[in-house]
Amino acid sequence: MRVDKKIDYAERIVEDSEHLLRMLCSPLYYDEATGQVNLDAFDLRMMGRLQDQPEHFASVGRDGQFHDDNERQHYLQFGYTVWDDKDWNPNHYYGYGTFKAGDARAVSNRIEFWPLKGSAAYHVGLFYAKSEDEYFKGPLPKEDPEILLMLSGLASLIEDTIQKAPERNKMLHRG
Amino acid sequence: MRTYTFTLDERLVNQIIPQFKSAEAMEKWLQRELELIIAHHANGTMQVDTGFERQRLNSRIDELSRLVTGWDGMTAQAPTEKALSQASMLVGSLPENILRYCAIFPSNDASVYFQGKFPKGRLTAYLNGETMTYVLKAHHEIVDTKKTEVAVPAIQDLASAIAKHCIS
Repeated sequence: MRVDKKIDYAERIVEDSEHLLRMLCSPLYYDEATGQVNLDAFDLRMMGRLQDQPEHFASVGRDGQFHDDNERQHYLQFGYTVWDDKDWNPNHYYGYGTFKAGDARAVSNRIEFWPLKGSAAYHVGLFYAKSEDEYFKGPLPKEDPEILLMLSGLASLIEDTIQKAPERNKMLHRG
Repeated sequence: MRTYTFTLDERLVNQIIPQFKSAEAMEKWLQRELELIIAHHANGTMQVDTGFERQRLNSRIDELSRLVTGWDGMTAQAPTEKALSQASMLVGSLPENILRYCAIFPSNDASVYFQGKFPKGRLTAYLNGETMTYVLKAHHEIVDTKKTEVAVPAIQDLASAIAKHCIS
């Protein structure tokens, strides 16, 4: 059985019908000329200044957990705040795309969604199974055609739903 | 009778022509380009080759060449010169009727994606500066996948497969 210290196995599983939301943290994740999404939107990254902290999962929002548009705007505001706010650059945030959990699972049997330990209910983790007892950590091995296909399948799921985020100064509240 | 004109631009002279090992190989490539143009003209899908799409993608490569570490707001590395050079080869060698469906993106590991969304299929290519790994799908089936050097013969094969399965 796969285990990851970040997964909360006690929480309920994410249903296939659940609508999820993937934030795109840079305009470089979307090409307006062709309507395509950068495959990296679903890759795992190396975090931290020393680049020694591989991401275990891609964070996705849970659309059903937002009670009104105000809460959704709060979540989207994270696009401007979770990345180093001191060095904030307006080019770091673009918007988001939406998809259903079941459609993502249909892309590859490597894809799993799990609630995260100690995390708010408004987002869950998208994990990639590496073997029977392990998950991939970032970045993914993209020389592998299977991995490329999986990322392409996920990116194509959201390309028709891309929404540009409101400009920062038009946000309703600070998170 | 129609007249087709090939423009010997800087990229063709400096990057593409030197790769041919013989005049016959270059003639074959030119023949293939001509066949693609004629086929699309016959299908009514011919676009006037203004060079617009090539210019759009070259501008994109230029933009990516100016990226610095952290372009994603975290610690994503900027694309290497070698990876961008591979993308440049593809842009310089593929015909406009294919390029119009293509986009180039940076990847967090200093590589580059070359992605195509065609009327009947998709190209997903990953350029790491050394090799190109690509998967071509048409009607949800894989019609071609390779790990190869980015050179004119491989690009010709790819262009033929795209034209055959994904556009025509």
